[in-house]
Amino acid sequence: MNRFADKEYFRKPEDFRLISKDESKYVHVDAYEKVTGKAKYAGDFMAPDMYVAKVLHSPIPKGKILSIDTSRAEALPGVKGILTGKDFPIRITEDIEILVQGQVRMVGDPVVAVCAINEEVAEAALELIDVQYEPLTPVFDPLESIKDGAVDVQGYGYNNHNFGPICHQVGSNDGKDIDEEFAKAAYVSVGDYKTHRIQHAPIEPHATYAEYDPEKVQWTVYQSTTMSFGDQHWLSVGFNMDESHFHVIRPYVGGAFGSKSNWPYSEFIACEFARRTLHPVRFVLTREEEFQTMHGRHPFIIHLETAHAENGKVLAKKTSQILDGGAYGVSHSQYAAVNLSVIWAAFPYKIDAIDLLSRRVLTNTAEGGAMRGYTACQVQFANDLNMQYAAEAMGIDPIEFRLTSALESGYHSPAGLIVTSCAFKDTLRDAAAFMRWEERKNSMKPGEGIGFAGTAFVSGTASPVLNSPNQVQTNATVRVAFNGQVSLYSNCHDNGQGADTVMVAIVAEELGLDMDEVKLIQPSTFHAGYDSGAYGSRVTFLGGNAVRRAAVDAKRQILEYVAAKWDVEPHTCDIIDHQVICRDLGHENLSMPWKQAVFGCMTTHGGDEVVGVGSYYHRTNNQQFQGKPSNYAPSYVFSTGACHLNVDVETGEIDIDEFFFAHDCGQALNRRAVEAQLEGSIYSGLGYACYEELKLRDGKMLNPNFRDYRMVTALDMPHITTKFDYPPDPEGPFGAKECGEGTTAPIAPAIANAIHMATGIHITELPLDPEHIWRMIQEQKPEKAMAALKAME
Amino acid sequence: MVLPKFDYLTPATLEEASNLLVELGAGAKVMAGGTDIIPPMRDKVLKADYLIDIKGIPGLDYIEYDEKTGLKIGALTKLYDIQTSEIVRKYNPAVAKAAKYVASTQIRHKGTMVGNICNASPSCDTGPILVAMNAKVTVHGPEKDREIPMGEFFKGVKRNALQPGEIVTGIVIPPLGEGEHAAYIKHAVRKAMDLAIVGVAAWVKMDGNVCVDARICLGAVAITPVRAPSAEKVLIGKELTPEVLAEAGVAAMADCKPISDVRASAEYRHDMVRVFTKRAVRKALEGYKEDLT
Repeated sequence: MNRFADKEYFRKPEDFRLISKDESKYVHVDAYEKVTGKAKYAGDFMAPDMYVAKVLHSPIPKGKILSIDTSRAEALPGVKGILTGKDFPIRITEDIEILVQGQVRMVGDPVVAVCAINEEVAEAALELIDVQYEPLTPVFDPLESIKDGAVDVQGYGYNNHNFGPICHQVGSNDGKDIDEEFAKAAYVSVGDYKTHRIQHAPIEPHATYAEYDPEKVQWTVYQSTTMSFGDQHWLSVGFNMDESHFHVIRPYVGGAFGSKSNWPYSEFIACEFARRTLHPVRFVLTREEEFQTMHGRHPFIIHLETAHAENGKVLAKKTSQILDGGAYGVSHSQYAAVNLSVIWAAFPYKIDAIDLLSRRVLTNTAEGGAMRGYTACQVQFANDLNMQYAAEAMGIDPIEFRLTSALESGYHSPAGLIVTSCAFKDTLRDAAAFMRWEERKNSMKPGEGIGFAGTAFVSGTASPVLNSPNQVQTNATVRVAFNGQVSLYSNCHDNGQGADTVMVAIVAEELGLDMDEVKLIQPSTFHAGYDSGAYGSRVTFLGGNAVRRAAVDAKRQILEYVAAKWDVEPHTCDIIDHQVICRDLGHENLSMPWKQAVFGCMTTHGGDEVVGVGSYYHRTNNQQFQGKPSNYAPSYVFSTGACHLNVDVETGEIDIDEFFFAHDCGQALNRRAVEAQLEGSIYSGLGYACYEELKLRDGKMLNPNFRDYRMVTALDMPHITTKFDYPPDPEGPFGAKECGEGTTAPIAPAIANAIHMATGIHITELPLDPEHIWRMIQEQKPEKAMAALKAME
Repeated sequence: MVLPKFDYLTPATLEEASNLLVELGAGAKVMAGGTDIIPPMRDKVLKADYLIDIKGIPGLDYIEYDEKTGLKIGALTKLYDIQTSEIVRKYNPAVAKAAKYVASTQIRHKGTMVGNICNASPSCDTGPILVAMNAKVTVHGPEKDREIPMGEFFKGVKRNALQPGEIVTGIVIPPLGEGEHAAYIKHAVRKAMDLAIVGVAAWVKMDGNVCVDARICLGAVAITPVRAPSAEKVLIGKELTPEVLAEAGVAAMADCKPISDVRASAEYRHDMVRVFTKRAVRKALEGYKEDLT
C-alpha cells in the first residue's frame, strides 16, 4: 500500500488524542534508557576477546606513497593485524578508496590500518609505522582548482579533472524570457558571498563494532549510522558479496546532523579485521578523525543576480555557485549537494525565470558532505542577505519586500517544484509582530538591530541520483498478536531526533492504544523492512506515512471483521481508547473491546495474526539532475527567523537578547520535540553564524578539537520563542512536515541582517565572530557604527 | 586517545611530596585538581612518569582574610569555592570574578587557582589579577619555605619560578586599602569553556578623583601575563577622565607582543588590549555588584 492507501480508514483529526496539543498521554520511548545511561551506543559494545582497530592518516595534503614499512609495528606484542591499500584494495565509489593505494589527496586520508588487543597497543603500533611520501603540489582554493592547468587534485587523470557534479537549471513560467525580465527590471541586485567550513561534531563519534561468523559467512555490524541499509549496500559492494551477508544493527545514535549518512572507512576496516582475526573488532573514531575525515559543511562561493520590479517583486534570478568539495566526491554520492543548492537558490520566493548553476569543485582539503540543512544554510544565507540589501536599495520595508514575492500554496516553480501547504507569509508576519517591527524599526539606537530571514526547505527527499524513487522509500509492518499486543517493525532511523517515539505514537494513535502498548522492534537490516535513512528530512514525512499505512492496514482488517458482525460499513468504525466503535447514524451505541475484536478477527481468519504493511515514497523522478523540471519533495516547509541584538562596536561582540522562530511544519506530532528541534536549530545556526569555523593552513586543520573549535555553550544561547501552529499538510502523516533540519538555514542570515541594521556594515561572508565583525567595522567605517562608537565614549 | 601509563603517588605531607619531587626528578609532576595535567598527558603534550597528587595533604584548602595580610587562598582551594566565597566577594570581588572566568562550572569544581597559575599558560585567567594585586605565592621547599611575588612567578610559556622540589602551598593577596579598586575582564568568544583572546586586570589607588598609583596586567598577549607600564604611567597622577582612560588604552598597546593564532590575530588582540585596558580601569572604579554570579 503506498500513497494511494485506503485513506478512508485514517483517523479523523477530531479524534486525535496523542497528535494534539494535549500531551498527557505522550511518552518518550527512549527517555528512561538515555537518562539513566542504560542506552547502548555502538562504541559501548564489547566482548572479552574484542580487538580494536585504528588508522594512520596522511599528514600531507597531496603526495605519492613511496613506501610503507610496517615491520616494527608487526613485531609489537599485541598487534593482531595490519592492512594497507595493497592488502585491502577496496574502492566503494569511483574515487573513494577505503585505504589509499597510491596517492594521498588530503590530510587525514587513511593509509594504514592496525588491529590490536587494545587501544594502547594500537596507538603504539601506529607510531612504529614508517610511510615515505613524495609530496606533490596541492591546490586548496576552488577558484584556482578550476583554472586551466591547475594540478589534478585526485591524480586519476580524469578529463575535466577537478570537477565533480554540476547542476544547471534554466527555465521559466508562462514563456517568460530571462533576459527580457532582467532588461525590464526596475532594479538588479548583484551580490557575491562566501561561506566557511564547519563540521557536524556529533557528541558520539562514528563507531563500529563488527563480528564475523565464518560458518554462516556473515557479519554482524553495530554501527552508529542514520542509513543502515546504505551501510549494508556499500559493505556488499566493498566486499563483493550479497547484501544478505551483512546484518547491520543500529543501536542508539548520539547525534549525526548529516554525518552518519555515510559509510565510513572505519566500518570496512573493522569488518575486514573481524573476518581475518575471527575476533569482534571495535573502531571508534577520535574527535580529530571526526573533524578531519567525516565531511563537514561545504564552503561556498556564490555569485547572484536578481531582477526586481518596481514594487520589489523578484522577476528573475541568475546564480553561479561553487562548492568546495574537498578531495573526494566526483561520483553520485555528492550529486545531492549541487542539486539541492540549486533548489534553495530559488527559495522561498516565486521566481518565474531562473538560470541557476552549481558546480562542486575538488581541492586537496577535507571532503565536504551532507550537514543539517544540506547546502541550504550556505545558499539561503546569500539569498536572504541579497533580499535585504535589495529592499534597502529600493527603499522598501524588508518584511513587505519579502511578502511581495513569498511563495504560496499552488505555485509551480520553473524548476518543477509544486508548493502545496505553505504558510510562509504567516511566518513573516508573525515574526514582524513578535519583534514589534513597525513600532521599533525607526527608533533603534546605534548598535541595536533587528534582523529577519525567510527560508524554505524540503519535507522529505526524492531521488536525485537513484533510478527509482522506491530506492528512497520506507517499509513498515505492524503485527497484532492474538492477545491484542502490537509490535511495530520499522527501521526509521532514530539519531536522537525522536523518530522512535513518533513512530510508536503514530501506531498508537491509529489503533486507539496507549504508547506503552506498542512495542517497537529495535531495528536492524534483518529484523524490519527497508528504510532509506534519516537524511533529507524524510523520516517523519515518508517514514511516518509508511508506518501510518501499516497501522491502518491492520486496523482495516479488524474493522472489517467487526463491521461484518455489526452489519455496518467498516469505514464508519474506528478504534477509540481500546474500543471499536461505530459512527454510523443509529449505530452509535455499538462497541467492542480491542482485545475481543483482535481475537475474533484472528479466529475468523483461520488463526492468522493480523499483520498490516505500509510503504511510502515520493512519486517523482531524477530529472532535476539533468536540469529538467521535477518536483523534488512531496512537500515543502517555510521558516522565518528573527532576532534582536546589540553590537559592541569596539570589540565586535554581539549580544542577542531575543530570538523568535516561526516554522510552518504543518501539524506537529510531538510538540515538545518540535520545540526542541527549533531551539536546536537556533543552537546550530548560531554556531555556524558566529562561533564555529574549521581553520586550515596548507590543508591541515588547525583546530580539530573542542577547545579551539568553538561550539556554542548553554551560556551563549539567547532567549528563544517559537511558533509552529500552522495548518496541516494535506499529504504528511496527520498533516506533519519537516522540522529541525532546514530550520538551521534562517539563523545566520537573521543574525547578519540584525548586525547590518545595528552597524551598517555590509556583510557578505561568514562567520560573524567578534574579530570578523570588528574587522568589517574597521574597514568599512559605516556611519551607524561610527555613531555607536561615539555614543560609547 | 589513551592516557599513558604513570605511577600515581599520594603523599600525606608536604615534606613527603617535596622529597618525592626531588627523588623522582623531572619525570614527576604535582597534581591537585588535575584539569591541566590529565588532558595534555592524554594528548601526549605533557609527559609524566609520576603524578604526585597533593589532595591528601591536610591544611591546604582554605579561604581566609585578615586586614593586614589580606586574602589567603590555599593550594587545594577550588576555583568554584573562590568564585562563590562570601569572603572573596566581599574583600576582592575581582579575584572571585577571575576565578569564575576559568573554563566551566564542572572544571572549576575540580581545578584550583594555584594550579591555574602553576600551569603558567599565557592566557591564564587568574594570573593578571594576582599580578595587578601584587599577590605572593607561598612555597614549601625541600630546604626552606619562601614567598615569590606574583610579578616574578611566570617565567615563560608553561614555565614558572619553582625550583626542583618546591610546591606552592597558597596565595596571599594584599588587602584593598582605602581608595584602592581592582577589576579583571576577560575577552573571549564564548561565555564558558574558552581561552582568553585578551585579559586585562587593573588595580588603581585613588585620592579623590586623582589616581595616585596603578598596576595594569595583560593576559594572553605575551608569553606570560605582563604589566603595562606605559599605561600605568598615563594613569598615575591624573584624574581618570574618559580621555585619560582612552589614552591609557592606547599606551597599553605598546606594552604587549600578541601573536596571531587559531583564536585571534595579533592585530585584533592589539586593539582589544586598548579597549579592555580602558574598560578594566573603568570597571575597577565602578565596582562589582550583582554581576559576580
